[in-house]
Amino acid sequence: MSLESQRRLLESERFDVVIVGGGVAGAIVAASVPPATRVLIVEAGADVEDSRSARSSAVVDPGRLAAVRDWARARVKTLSTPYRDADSLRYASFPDGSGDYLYAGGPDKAFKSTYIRRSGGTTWHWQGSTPRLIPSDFRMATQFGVGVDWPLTYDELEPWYAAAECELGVAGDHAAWDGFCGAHRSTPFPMPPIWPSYSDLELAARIAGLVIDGRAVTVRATPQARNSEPYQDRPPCAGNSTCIPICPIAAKYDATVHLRRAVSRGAVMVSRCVATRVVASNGVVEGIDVALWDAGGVVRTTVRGRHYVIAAAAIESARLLLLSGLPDRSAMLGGNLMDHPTGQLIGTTPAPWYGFRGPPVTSGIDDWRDGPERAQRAAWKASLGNDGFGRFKAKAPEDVVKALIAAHGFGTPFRAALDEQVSRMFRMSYATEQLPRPENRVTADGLKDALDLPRAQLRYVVDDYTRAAFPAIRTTILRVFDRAGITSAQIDPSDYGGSGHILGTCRMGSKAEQAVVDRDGRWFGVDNLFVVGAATFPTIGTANPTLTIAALALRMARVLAAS
Amino acid sequence: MISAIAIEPLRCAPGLGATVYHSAVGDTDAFLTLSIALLGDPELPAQGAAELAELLPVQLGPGFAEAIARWAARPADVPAEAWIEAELWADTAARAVCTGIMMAWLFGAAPTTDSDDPRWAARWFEGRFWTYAHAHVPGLSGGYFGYWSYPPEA
Repeated sequence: MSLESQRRLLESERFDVVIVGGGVAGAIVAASVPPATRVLIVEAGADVEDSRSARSSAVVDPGRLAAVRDWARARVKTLSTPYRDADSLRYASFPDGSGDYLYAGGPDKAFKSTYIRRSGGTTWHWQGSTPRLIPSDFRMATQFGVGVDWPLTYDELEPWYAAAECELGVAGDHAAWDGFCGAHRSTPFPMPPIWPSYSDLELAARIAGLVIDGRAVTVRATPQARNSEPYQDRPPCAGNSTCIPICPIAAKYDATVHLRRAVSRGAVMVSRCVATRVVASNGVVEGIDVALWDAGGVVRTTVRGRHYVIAAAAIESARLLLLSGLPDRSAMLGGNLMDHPTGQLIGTTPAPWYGFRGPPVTSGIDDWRDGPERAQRAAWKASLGNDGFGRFKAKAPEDVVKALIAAHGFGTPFRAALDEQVSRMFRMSYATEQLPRPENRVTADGLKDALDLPRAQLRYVVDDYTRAAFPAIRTTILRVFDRAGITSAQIDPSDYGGSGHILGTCRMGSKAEQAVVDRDGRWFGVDNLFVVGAATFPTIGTANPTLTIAALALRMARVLAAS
Repeated sequence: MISAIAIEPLRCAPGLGATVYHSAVGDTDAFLTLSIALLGDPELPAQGAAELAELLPVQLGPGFAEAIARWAARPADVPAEAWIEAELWADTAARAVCTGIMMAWLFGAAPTTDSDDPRWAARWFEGRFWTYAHAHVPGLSGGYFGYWSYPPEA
C-alpha cells in the first residue's frame, strides 16, 4: 500500500485505542482489549511479515544468514538506527556518535543498553528470562528507606503475573518459586521448566550445602518464555543456541505472537509509521501526529482515537512525550532512567561441562535478590551461562581461539589445548539493582534525525548504591567458583555492562507531584493518555522486566475496557 | 597434486581500487593437507577445502598462494609440523596467513574483513570449532528438547 493510501486510511477512521509501539507492551494491550474495540498500532520500524521472513530465511537463506551470523558475533547486536533508510535487519554500531541514532551525553558512553525498533520490539533478541519482581521490590522506600514505593503491591499484580505467564508461555518450576522472597504464586507455570544444562547440574551438585553470609546458595531453574512443550502452536525449544539474536523455530516467545493475534482480531497495524507528537488540548489528547515513511519519502498525518497508549519503551516513549509539551507537574518525565548494570566472571571447570549447548541461560542463583543490605547497597542475581565465555571481553570464542593459537601455535599442541579448554569454559554473569535518580535522564533536544525530530540524549551514571554491591558480588561468585573447583577465574575488567533493560523515564506513582502516570498508567492531567511498559517502573529490583511489562499491559487492557 | 598455485592479478576497472588476487586452484590437495597439519584434524573435508581455496585468496592476499606453494614444495623427508614451524610459523607474514586459514576452518567466517560473498554465510555451518567443542553450530538444533542436560554422546 502506498504512503498516500495509508494516509487516507488513517484519516478516514477514528479508533477506540491508538497504540504507539508494536513491542511486547503495545502488542499485548492490542491483543487483550475486548474484541469489538477498534485498535490502531503505529510501529516505527519494519512490519511483522518482514520479521517473520527474517526468522524463516535465517534458516534457509545464506544472504540472511550473514546478518544473523553478524548479530551472533557482534558485541552489540541490537538495532538502534530507526533512520527511514536504514537496513533494519543489520546491527548497528554502538550508539556513540552523531552517525548513530541514539547517543549518550553522559561520561564515557555510560548507558550501555540499546533496543530494537521494529515490530515485535526488543523481544526479537531477548534472552527470554521471565522472573517476577518480589514483594519488597514494590516497597523500597517503606522497607529499606531508599528509592520509592510502587503505587501497586505484589499482591495486586500477582493475578496479572499469572495471566502474563500464560500469555507469553512461561516454563518454570512452581515449587522452586512459590513463596520465593515472599512472592506467592496463585497458579502453576503453564509449562514445566526448561531442563537445566549439564553445567548447571554439575555446578549445583558441587556447591550443594554451600552457605555464604548465612545464605544457602541455591541453583534454580530460571523461569523463561521458552516452550518446554508445544504451546500456542509453537514448538518446544530444540536448543538452537541462537536465542539472541533470533530463535529460528519460534520456541521462544516474541511479541509478534500478540501482534498477529491483535491483527487477526481486527486491529490495524501500520508499520514504518513514526509518532512525532501527541496533540493535547485542555487535558484531552486529540490526536497523534505521525510520519509514514518508505524508501521513497515521508507522508505526515494525524491519527485519532478515544484513548491513546504510548508503548514505545523507555527511551522512545520519553522522547515522544517530551516533544509533545504535555503537562508534567512532577518534572519526572524523562528522568529515572535505569538499567541492571552487569558484570561477568569466567573460569575453567574441573572437568568438561560442555558449554555452547542449549539456551544461553537455564539456571541462576537468586539468593541475593533480597535482604537487609538493600538499605545500603543493591540487590543482585546471577545467571549461569551455557555459552562458554560468552562475549567476555571480546567476541569469544573467536578470541579465545586466537589466544590459544598465540600460546600453543598449530597442529597437535594447538588441538590438545583446544580440546582441553573449550569444553571447560564457564561463565557466570550478574545483574545489579539500580535506584531511580531524576538526573539519569532522557532529553530530546539534541541533533535531529532523518525525520527532523530531535534525537534522544541520555544522561546517566551508576551511583554508589549500585557500585557498593560490586565487590561483594564478585567475592561471592569467586567463592562459588572455588567450591565448584572452577579455576583460572577472571573478572570482567570493564566497569559494568548493560542488561538491555531500559527502564524508568515515565514513573508510575500515586501523586501528580511525584510521578508522570498513575497506578493505571494514566497520565496525570490527561485522562485519555496512557503509558505502558518499562517506562513506568518506579523501581526495578533485579528481575528481568519483560514479565512485569506483560502483566502491566494486561492490567492496562482491563483498565481500557472499563473506560 | 599441484606443486604451485599461479597468482594471476586481475585488473579492476579503473578507479575501483586495488588488485584482486585470484588463485588458479585446480587441485586443492596442498591446501587441504596444510589445513590438516595446522588444525591437527585429519577429517577436514575436501569439499570445504575447495571452497575455502577459492574464498581465502581474496581475504589473505597473495601471501595465501605463496604459503600454499611453499608447503607444496617442501621436502618430503621433513615432518610436516617441524617444517611449518621453521618455514611458515617463523615468518610473521606466513604465520598470519596460517592463522587466517585456521580461523576460517574453525568458524566458517572470513578471517580478516567481512565479506559480502554469500558463500561465507554458508560456511558458518561448517565451522569445525563446534565439533571440537562437542556442540553444534549455533542456529542449528542440537537434536531434541533437553539434550543440553546430558553430556554429549561420544
